[in-house]
Amino acid sequence: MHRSPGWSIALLTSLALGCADSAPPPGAEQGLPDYDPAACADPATLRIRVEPELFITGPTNNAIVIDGDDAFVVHSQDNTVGRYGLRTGRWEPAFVDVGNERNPWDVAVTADRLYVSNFAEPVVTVADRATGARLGELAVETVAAGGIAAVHDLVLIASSGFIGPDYGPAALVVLRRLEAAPWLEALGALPTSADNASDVVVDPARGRVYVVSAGARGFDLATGDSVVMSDGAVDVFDLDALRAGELDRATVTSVALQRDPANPFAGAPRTLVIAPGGDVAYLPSASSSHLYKLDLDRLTWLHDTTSPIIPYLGTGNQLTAIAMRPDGLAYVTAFNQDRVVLFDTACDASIAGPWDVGNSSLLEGPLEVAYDPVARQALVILSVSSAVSRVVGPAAAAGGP
Amino acid sequence: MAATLGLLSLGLFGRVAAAQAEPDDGYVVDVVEDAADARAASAWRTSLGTWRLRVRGDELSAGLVDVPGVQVRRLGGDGASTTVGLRGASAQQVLILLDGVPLNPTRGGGVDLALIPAALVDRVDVYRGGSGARFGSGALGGALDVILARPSGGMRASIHGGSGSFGTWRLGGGAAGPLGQGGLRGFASADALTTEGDFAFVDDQGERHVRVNADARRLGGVAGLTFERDGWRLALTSFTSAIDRGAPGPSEFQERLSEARRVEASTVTALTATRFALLETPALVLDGTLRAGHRWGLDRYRNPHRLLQSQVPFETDQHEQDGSAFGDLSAYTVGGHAAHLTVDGDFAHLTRVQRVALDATAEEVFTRTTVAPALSVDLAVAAGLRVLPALRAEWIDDVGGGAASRLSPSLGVLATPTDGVQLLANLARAWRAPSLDELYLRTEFVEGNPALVPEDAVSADLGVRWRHRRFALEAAVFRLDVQEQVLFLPVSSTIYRAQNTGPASVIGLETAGEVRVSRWFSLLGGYTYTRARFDSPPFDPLPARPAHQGFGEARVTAGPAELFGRVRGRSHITLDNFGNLSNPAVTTVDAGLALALGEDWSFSLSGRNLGDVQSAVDALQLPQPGRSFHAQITWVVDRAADEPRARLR
Repeated sequence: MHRSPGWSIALLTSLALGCADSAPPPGAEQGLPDYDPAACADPATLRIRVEPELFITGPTNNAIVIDGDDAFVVHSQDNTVGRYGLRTGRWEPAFVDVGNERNPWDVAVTADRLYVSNFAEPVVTVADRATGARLGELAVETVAAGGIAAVHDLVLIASSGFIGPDYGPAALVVLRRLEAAPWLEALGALPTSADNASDVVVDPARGRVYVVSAGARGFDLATGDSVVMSDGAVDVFDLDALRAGELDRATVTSVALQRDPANPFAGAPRTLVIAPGGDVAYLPSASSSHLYKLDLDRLTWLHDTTSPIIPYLGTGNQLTAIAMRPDGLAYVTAFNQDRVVLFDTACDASIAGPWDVGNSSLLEGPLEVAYDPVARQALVILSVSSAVSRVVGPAAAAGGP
Repeated sequence: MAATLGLLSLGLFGRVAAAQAEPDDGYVVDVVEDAADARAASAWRTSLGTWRLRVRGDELSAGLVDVPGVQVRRLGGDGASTTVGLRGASAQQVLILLDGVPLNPTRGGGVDLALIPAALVDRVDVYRGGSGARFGSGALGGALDVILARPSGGMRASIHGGSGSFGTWRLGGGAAGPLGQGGLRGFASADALTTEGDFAFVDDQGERHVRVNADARRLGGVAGLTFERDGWRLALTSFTSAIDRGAPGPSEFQERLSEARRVEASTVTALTATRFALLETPALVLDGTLRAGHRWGLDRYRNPHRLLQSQVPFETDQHEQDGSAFGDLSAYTVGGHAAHLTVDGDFAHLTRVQRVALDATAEEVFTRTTVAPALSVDLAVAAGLRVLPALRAEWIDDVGGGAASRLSPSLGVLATPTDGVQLLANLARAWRAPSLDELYLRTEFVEGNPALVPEDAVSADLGVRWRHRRFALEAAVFRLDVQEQVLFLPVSSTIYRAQNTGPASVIGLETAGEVRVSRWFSLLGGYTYTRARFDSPPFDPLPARPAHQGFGEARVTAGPAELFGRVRGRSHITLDNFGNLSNPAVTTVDAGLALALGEDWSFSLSGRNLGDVQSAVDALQLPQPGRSFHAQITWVVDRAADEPRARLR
């Protein structure tokens, strides 16, 4: 499970609009891992423009979700969710005030509602999508909630079970949406096969729900590193069974992501992003510069911790995020380097970049990236500097939509 | 004047009526001359007399905030953690001393001035600008020397008590006088503060809340003996203060830290022997001083609540002991020259015990030794022109990669072209060895870095002081360049680590003045411009340094009463290292009166932040109190009835 650093420090202790126009010509010489150019899109045809710190968010932004013409940014330390108008450029930093002590983690967006999972309190917040007004909140059986998703009439929350320094049982918490107060109804919880459930992802095409568990992470006093302590996993649930409220038959299977004994940072998948075509998914690591690749047909690993995809150069404890485009290209961010690279799923390699997404000499910490298909742009939240940067382009990969 | 200052001792409040006849005691502009030490002749020194603070029941920070160049950072109301920056330098880059004994914890973090009750303090000498040549490692932005109140004259006794908003109560008193006929004097005083700190504030979303877990209980005392005879002066002083207070969380997470507590305690004991005219010839007089000091400090943090879902209570105990020795030979020659040769050393011992699991703690021990000889010279090179070169060599045994040493030279020039006008210029180098926390701290989220290199700084200033019978003005421009500034910054999504971040620079302007319009009406004011920033693109501002800050105060003295009204303001401050998070500009209004009631009693009533600004913060989500009132009554008895009343201040 990833924890955003500013939040940690704030409790434990305690707008510059820039434009990097005319991006340099992409290429491996800028520090990308080696790859086979023949199998990938031609980077020379891809134009990208990065606009660092497009706008300033609340402190400790933790998640960004794009839906239609809006981008929603969750501010863990400010207990708010901000709304950015992708076409208007209007920014409302406290669009939703989820209330003190909540520590919101993630937001799920529907046509008329926002559902916010909260890490520090076992409640889920329901807000009106149009106005941001908080409609209510429901006590739920989450322990240190992580990701949240809404599909059909369900709201699904990954409950990490984190009761530091250890991990209790992690679960998928299933809720049914209601049209009136109390807005949600608890259907139950399903245990996950690994510790530290981090995110929940819906695969409507296959009628599945995937819960990604990072596995336990811990602090190695000897090295001062945050290391992976147990295996991660992807648990697969049947969406129809969940919708029917038949939780006892909803669990399909689980796919463990075993640790690499030779690399204490390998593993810790954060989330799962389904590639165009729906056959495979990529899972970025919360502790290394790795992407793991899962065959969704066979539910087997194509690239696991012993054979990871390495989208950018970085050693030691890293954090990686990814946002997928319909054309098979993806934006991959590197927290420790303040950079983004363009990744091509056709060849499983980064083909362009890296580009700086911050404009400071200090680490700004890109934590999440989300894609806006209308404007073909990605927004990157910088969790340390409380900002959002924009990556514009490329127009489309050859043959892509 | 020194004798006058001595009478400010013991937390005594003098008669307000008496204040009319005397010049002010340097509330804003330095009017205190310390003839015994000419090393500060060219320094931008402001001596902050504390008697008004004591009368009003204020903390030291309430006076320091009006000293030009000072940035006070107070994380709440009375009793809350308070640190001071100077000329854009951080609290860690400012050295704070108590009667000459360094207070800065070797572990780092700066000195919490809330631990020092104003009632026990005679004055605070604020040295603005790099003072490494005089005070050593850590004085990049300057230094504060807190001078404890000491007795002189006859028998004295006092009691003061007060109460104010947010459940605040104060009580204190003291006694002093000669012990026998042999030149021995004794003094003792104490001050207690208790406050609930439950002030209202408005958070970033505009919601109103009440501060939780911001209470504080403080007890401080000072006792000592002085002996003077035959050219000898011996002084033994012991200061002790302890504060038990809540450690409130950010305004968005108050409940989660509603039971977090922090206890800090400090004892400083100093034995000073001064021999005047150790050697006396027609051409030269030599004085000698020896001082042995001991400091003990405790910093204990407890949070029984789960934090970040953790079941392990957060517990840390840090004990620090310092033994220091200081020797000084001062020579004064015909022609007005002077030279000071000093040698001082310090041995610090830090023990840190931290809970690392439900049933386990880890203990770490660190030590640090410092040795430093220094020479400073005051040369009267011509009529009205003095040149003050100084050099300090300092060696510290453990700064991560091993020992480190630095030479800290300075050069000051003081010109007096005409009576009442002084031109001052200073150029100095200073340095700061990384603190033990910056080098060796290791927690789950924050860690030190043994590879750090010391901060080095160059400072320069130039300005003028102009004193007249009815006014005093000063203005100075300054610059501070810090190389390899040390900050705790994230290196990954889970770890903050101390890092050398490269250069930072500060330029600024300080002005202050007082105009005595008439016998009963005077105006004071000050303004400081500070531009402090990282010296690499995009040149983001250093946090918590307002570009503009200042104040204006009017005082009216009418019969036995003194009334004041004050406006303070600062421009917006940034709350992060990127200039992205900020708190808007703040303007506050204070007012009050002090009233002498007969010979022995006095009463004061003051209101702070009368406009009830509730949205101000000094750090991210750490709010400041709104409107408050404080009343205090003081009783002073003074057997030295033959002394002028004015001296009772």
